[in-house]
Amino acid sequence: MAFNILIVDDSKTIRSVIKKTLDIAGVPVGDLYEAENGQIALDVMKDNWVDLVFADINMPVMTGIEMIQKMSEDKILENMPVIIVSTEGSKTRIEELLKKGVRAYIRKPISPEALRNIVKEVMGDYDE
Amino acid sequence: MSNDYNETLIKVCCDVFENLSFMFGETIDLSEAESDSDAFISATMSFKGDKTGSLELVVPAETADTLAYNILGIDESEDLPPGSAIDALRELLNTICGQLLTTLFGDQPIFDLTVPETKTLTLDQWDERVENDQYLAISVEDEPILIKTNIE
Repeated sequence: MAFNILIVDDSKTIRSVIKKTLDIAGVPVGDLYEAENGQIALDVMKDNWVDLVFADINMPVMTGIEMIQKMSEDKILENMPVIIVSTEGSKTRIEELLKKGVRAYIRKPISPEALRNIVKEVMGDYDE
Repeated sequence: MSNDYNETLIKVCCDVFENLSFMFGETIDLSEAESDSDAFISATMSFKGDKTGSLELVVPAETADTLAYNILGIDESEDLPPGSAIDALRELLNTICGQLLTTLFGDQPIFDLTVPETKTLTLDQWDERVENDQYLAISVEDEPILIKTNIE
């Protein structure tokens, strides 16, 4: 089984790093989508089947938090798992994110091992 | 700048360079931060929370390219995607800032970080910074990098 994955980050470099890390981690990827902010991500999610979203917090136009809020108001998107990828180190803020519906949090810089573990935690075990 | 902050900043910086760009850094004396480059990139960002401050990272332009090649895992015989050197530098600074704040102040305080901004500097502007003892110098794969933090 391969996951359709959406990567949301205003940095093209970080989107590339996440793609590369997913590959090294052996996460099975089907269709891979990219968005540079939350608004574009919502449009991608409405037009395509997405299994898992990786999102940054601080982005122009629409932040990751605003995107999650919009997703929670949408019957189709409300249960879509979102993993936040950020430099955020405050436990207080991470707890706030989890309360808002974020499934998991991974801190930059990300390692393939950490990414693999977090995907398994959120999506369940899969065949590599 | 406090010596405690200096030591932590250097360590965090070297760790992030190693983990994000797979390049190894070590502290050098500021006076050793000589460069043959004629263009440099300065990335700055600030933070607000229990403490307020800013962070600046300055690298020779060629080093910014090398960092981007390493972060993206692209062979240096290929062309870099446009803007990726600047983008890579911003991400390095952003990651250093996040790690620095947690290392210094723990994982309870909340900080708001600004988006990193970049500008090009001349050799004269680099030299001015090398003469300013608020900056710290790191050698990353034999290339000098300057970093400064100001925390209030």
